[in-house]
Amino acid sequence: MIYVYAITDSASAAPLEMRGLDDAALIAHPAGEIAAIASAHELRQITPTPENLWRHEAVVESIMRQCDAVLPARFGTIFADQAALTEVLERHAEPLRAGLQRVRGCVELGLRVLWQPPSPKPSSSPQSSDSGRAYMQARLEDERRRREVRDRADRTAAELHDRLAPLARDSTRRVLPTVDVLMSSAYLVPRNAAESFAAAARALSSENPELRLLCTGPWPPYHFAPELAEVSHA
Amino acid sequence: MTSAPTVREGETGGADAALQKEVTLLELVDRLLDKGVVLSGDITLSVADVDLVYVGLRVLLSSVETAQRMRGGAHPAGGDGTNNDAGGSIR
Repeated sequence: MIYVYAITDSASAAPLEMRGLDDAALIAHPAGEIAAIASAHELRQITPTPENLWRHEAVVESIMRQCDAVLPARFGTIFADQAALTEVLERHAEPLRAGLQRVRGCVELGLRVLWQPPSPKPSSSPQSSDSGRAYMQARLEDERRRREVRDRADRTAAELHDRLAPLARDSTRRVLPTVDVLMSSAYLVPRNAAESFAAAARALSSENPELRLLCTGPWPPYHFAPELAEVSHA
Repeated sequence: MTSAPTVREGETGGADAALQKEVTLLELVDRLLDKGVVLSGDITLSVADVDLVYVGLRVLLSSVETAQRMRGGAHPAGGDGTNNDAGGSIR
């Protein structure tokens, strides 16, 4: 089977010295203007061990260093043979080309903001002797507190995001993906602006000592890859 | 140390490096298993497999966040720019 790491411009898909999963050689499969960087394997199962994940990432990063535009593939993307891969590249040529255009010259920077969630004062647990009315009041109070936490998180996340988003060509964010994570966001930033983005993140970190801002990157633009319609089973 | 955009995990030394490495693995898994272009319906990982990876990582995540909380009081985030909180270059 053929394992795919990323899509890039066929014009810049030069041979890569780096090895893929299981130390397999990397091959460029061009189809018109775009090309898939892939490796051939006997097995049909690639397990998501940290080692394999890092290898996939290392391959995509080496493509990113060599090419202006790269669309990383979801881990585990396989095709039965070259014909199946070529068929998919041709069928989705237009959105893939547009996707490459969108991320051209850019990297992705990630931000994870940890906070101290306001401690929820647990309402006195309803006793069997409580009236239905007291029970309902306790429930309403819980709901009100949850909404307050949510509102505060939304406000704080918006303040942070509004400072960083103007430095990016595009961005995505999730507020409170878990109770301890205030915001998890990704920014598509021109390569030569990555350093000023990092400086802005450091400044935000200093201004908000009660939060912990963890900035990672530069990553390939995973969050800004196009969603293809009608991806069918090969 | 936070200025070069290509500092990789493990180069910063000490407990911060270990923490950063764990957070980075988490960010990596989020990206590779949940983002990126889906070219083929024939992905080797089933949804159940991906869920299993996340179950394994939940243990990791909670240890990261616990460590963050424990450090929180004594060592406020950011500020002096030496603890690699928001480098843009931290991997």
